[in-house]
Amino acid sequence: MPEVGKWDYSQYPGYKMFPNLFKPIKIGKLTIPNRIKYAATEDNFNTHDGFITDRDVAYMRERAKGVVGGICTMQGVFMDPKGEGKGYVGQAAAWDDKFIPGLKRIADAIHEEGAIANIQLMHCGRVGGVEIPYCVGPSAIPQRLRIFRPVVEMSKDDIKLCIKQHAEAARRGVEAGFDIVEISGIVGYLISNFLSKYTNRRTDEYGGDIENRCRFMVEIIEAVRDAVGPDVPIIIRLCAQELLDDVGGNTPEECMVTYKMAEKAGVDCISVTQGWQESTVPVITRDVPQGYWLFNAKRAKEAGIKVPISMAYRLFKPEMADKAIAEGIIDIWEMCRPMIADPLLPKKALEGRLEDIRPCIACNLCLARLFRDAPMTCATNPLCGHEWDPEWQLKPAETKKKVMIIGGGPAGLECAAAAAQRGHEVHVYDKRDILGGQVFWASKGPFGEDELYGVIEYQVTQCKKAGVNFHLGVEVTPKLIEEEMPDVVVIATGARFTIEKVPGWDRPNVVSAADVLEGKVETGERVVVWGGKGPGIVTALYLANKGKKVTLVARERKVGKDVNPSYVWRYIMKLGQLGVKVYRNATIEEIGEKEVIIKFIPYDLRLPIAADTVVYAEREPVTELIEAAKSVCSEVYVIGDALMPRRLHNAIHDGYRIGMRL
Amino acid sequence: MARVDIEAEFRKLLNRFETLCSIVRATWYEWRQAAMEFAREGVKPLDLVLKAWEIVGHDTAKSYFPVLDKSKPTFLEDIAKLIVMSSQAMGEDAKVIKGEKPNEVYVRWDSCPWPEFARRYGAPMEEDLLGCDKWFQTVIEDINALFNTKVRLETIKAIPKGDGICLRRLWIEE
Repeated sequence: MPEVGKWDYSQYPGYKMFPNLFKPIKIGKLTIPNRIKYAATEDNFNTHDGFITDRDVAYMRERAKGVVGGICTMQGVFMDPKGEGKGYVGQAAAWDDKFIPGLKRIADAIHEEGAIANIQLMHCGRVGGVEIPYCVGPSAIPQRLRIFRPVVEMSKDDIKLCIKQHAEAARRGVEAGFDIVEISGIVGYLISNFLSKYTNRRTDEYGGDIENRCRFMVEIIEAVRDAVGPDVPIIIRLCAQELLDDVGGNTPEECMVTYKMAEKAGVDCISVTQGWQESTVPVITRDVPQGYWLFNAKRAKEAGIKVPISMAYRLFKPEMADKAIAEGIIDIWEMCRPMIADPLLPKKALEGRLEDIRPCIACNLCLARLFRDAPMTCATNPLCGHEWDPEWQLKPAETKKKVMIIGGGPAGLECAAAAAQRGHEVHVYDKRDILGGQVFWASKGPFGEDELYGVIEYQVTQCKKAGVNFHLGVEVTPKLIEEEMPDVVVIATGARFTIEKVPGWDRPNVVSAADVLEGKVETGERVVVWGGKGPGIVTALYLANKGKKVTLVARERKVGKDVNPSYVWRYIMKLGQLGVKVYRNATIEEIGEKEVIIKFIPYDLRLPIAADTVVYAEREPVTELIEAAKSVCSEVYVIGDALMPRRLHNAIHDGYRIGMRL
Repeated sequence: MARVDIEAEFRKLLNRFETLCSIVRATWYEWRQAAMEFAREGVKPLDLVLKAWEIVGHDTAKSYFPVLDKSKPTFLEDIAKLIVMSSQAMGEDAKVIKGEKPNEVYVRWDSCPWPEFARRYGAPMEEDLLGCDKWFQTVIEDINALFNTKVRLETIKAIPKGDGICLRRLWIEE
């Protein structure tokens, strides 16, 4: 058991800045020294048969450092040998004592960093059976999402066994050294399937009215309590709002009944969540304003819940969480995505180093990877998943080099910070006076895109602290490269918006997406955006949001082919909501003063449509300096969109990988 | 600026669409023939066809799920509209007709190419009718299973029976 008394937060500047975050709280009989909790995150870092790996231990250790004595939760474990409850290929297991040594490694790592270890029990229910052809649930309700397996109704014997498996897994967790046991009842996992009238149509004592639908949850809580004893706190995560109105899910009032019944059953803390994976309403992406969901935590308090309330879900900033605690809306600040991006976020808050917090951009790349059976990664944190690998850590450079980085976008900045932190002399050149490359334009989009620029602000801060020299407003030429005589040149010149030279391409009513997003040009009322990848979509949304009549022309069969699948549906939904017409498998054949001709490529069909302005949003890499650099320097790298136009995470990862190796 | 003959482009598209509709139907019967040649002895074409339409029905229902919303008062009409949309996409002349009672709606087909293809490939009319019914019933069953509703569908008239039109009634049982 960690020593609570060893945490003296008062010596840190963050203690005065966020006094509510660093006050102790009791959960059951356990005193937690602060109000910080790292929430359970599936990561697909473990073996397919459920054993813990070095990779996962290292990942958890970093998060344990970050919570500075608070609660650190390992990923939800599956508890049955058949894998019915397993929702992710690399999910950790706890269905047998053979898994205890691995679980102990996680608990030990958490304790070694002075934090409190929390194990989560997670039967994935409707989302489970990832490696078998079915999943289980209270009723055999068809799946809405094609990636999930058909549901088999559980018999009463199956239910009893499942409850027992929860209790056994809890016992194993405590034996492995975990201090808290958490039960997951959210997002479409098994407990939530029993709670919801959408997925529970049983007519026995486990179905029917809300109290009966709670029976499974209550029996699990009681069984877990019997298994772990009275001193180990039990936390449960429950939906305050299912966001399943379109399929007849629980009302918010029914959700509060589940909260009360969980409290009555003896849980010591409730974590407030909202939405299911199959909800058609955005929940955790950046198009949802930060702090938006706090009203659900407030509802729980107003419903009379007395045990501590914790909440994550778009609560990224310490000042927001501190205020929410001060106002009595929540008791504990929980974080999942923000601490994937920066495992040390709360520690930096305590140290008063807000400018050093690497931001999460709520892009859901982490989730998209999980659903495609890949190890988790993070768009803004290249080290995520590589904490265990010494090759990925920044080590002092063996030989100090003069590094010339051409391009002050996210790839160049990431490379600069990494290289400078290792001791190289780094110079970043950009022909513009502002840093950020294409992120500057991307952040002009509506619906939360402004959060993207937070990454640049973070990178610039790290660069400045590491002593990077900036040369802004300087256009690099071959002559300049020769004069500077760098040891290394990194071409991070990004991509430019480009247009195919069809008849009319050089008309005055043809403009680039950059000029539109920067506000340099005004468009007419009827706008055709040419380019169906991420930049085209954001430009179309920007214009449609301003009231323009927008048509989006995409060469691909699907728009947003470059956007991660867990985010792109939101873009597509918003395009529809704003009335943007989308033509796929299409290109522009000719541009006139008030009209364009769209050609549908596979069908050889043409359609003239009215257009006052054409905005081109396809990109090509900026490569002009590559040969010149190679002619004067023996060590030249090309990174980010200069290599190939891709997404923000590619740029950041490219930059880090080169910076760590120079 | 080049002039685009919109009517010519439209005729091209229409021609391709009509060709595709024929290809869809022909492919259906070509697969039926291949399956029957490989089937073990005793397998009846009707059983095979009903199974195939059931599979299609499950897939169709899945495509309808994301656009249906049980909480909307137009839920039943939206189902009917989706059936019409699927039918029109296959070149059938279908429309939604509001019923006299509040929770009732009809879908009417004034023409349908499927019986003609059944005849062309030597399939009985009974198979065409029952296959269609199987498709609709499977879709409705899956909708009811997901949304916990009691939508019902009955075939009142059918072109394969010689009625000249197909008419189906949808309602929500009390």
